[in-house]
Amino acid sequence: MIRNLWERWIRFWFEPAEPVNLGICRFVFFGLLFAYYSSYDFSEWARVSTAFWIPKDFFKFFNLPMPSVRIIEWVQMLWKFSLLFSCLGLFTRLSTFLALSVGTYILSYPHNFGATHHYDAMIVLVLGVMAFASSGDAYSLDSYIRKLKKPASGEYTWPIRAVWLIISVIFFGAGYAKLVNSGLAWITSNYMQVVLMQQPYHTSAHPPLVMWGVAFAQRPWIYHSMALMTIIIETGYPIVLFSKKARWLFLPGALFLVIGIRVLMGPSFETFLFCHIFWIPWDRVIGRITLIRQGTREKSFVHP
Amino acid sequence: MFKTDVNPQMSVPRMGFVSAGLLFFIAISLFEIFTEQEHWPFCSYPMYSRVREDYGLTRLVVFGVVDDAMSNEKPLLRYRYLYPFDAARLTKNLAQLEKKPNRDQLFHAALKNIYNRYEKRRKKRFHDGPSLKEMKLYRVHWKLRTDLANLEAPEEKTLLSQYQPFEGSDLQ
Repeated sequence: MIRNLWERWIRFWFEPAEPVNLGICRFVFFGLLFAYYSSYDFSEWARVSTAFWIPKDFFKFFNLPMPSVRIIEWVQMLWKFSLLFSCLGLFTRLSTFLALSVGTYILSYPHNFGATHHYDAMIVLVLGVMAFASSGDAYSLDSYIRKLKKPASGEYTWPIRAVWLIISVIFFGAGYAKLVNSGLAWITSNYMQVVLMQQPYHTSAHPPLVMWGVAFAQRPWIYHSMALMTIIIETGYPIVLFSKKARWLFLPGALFLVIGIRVLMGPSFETFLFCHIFWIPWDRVIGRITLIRQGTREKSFVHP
Repeated sequence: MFKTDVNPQMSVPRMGFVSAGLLFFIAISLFEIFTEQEHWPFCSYPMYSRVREDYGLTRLVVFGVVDDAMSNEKPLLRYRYLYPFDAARLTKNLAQLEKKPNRDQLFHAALKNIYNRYEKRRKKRFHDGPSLKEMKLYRVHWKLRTDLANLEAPEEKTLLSQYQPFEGSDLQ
């Protein structure tokens, strides 16, 4: 039995794969992060009064003080450059390690001002995976400069599946908390109606994009269905790790859920969407695009 | 070590290191989830998990005073007015300050800082809010309405603190 488990473990995490998928995931993931955070100025937090400073988790553990504006400006510049370099695959090992270590500091910094928002925790965990992955072996300046052509290896499989695991655990955690704290009342009660009605009163970091939530709150079948789907998607998400068929339901469902939360309620989990790029089989996408291009060329040769 | 028909092209120590990291992540995540703890970035994601069927909402909200009339007190809820805070984070922060013994001093310092940043950003045209002559902190209670008619005029308001600058001298 242990042998069987070991074999399954090895097969799932370390089945050899070409470096293409991981390379493209690195390029897209860090590119999206860079685009998302490039205009955000963390140094504004260093300008707020010390009265607001309530150290949490990371800062409390290491007994870190409230940093000065100058320090935050330098740290955020270093982090943004590390994201850009990681995207391009230049000094990939160093860049991805800096993206993790500096990113953990800079992303946890705003949490010391009253609330831990959850949208960036997944990012830090994925940065952790990328810091230890060999993601610069394809689609990177490093591989271009060194003329690298690496064979298939388990090194290119486990990071992608580790990100799948991170997303699964996070969705499951959210669903499990609802079932444990409220049971089926989370679906059958009027709670979803209350949540939808609260959002325009700025109870979340961002207001809803549209006010349809208030209209949905007046139709019980809609808000009960929304609650049911939320529980199914969140609690059942880990099934996608083992079932390819389930991916056709849960992956679009999760994207729909995250986008729906932003549009109807306000909380923004765009960063969760970024992590879903690790589900895309980029080698097959490229293969399909190449085939289409070749087909077009052949057609244009036959029919000029 | 058992032999398998999969050849990962990785050294055994490297596979052991990666496996240990993965098992650590699984263990710590399940611990956080099942014990409902939060040690960011390992979280249990409990937000919106507890059913509340109360159609009321009580929060600490900062109001800007445009002139002396009570009707010109407006709740400052928009991100661009409170930046870098958002209304949710600011409310949670103020609720934590309220529990401290020197809360009056902290509230005053907080309002002064919010006011100064609001006016500074307004003068730089980062937002289109009106010029404020005073800032107040209230505990407010809304009865949730689908028409949102009471958004700027909550049913109950209790003044907790206020800040009035001396003719622009506080602006840095």
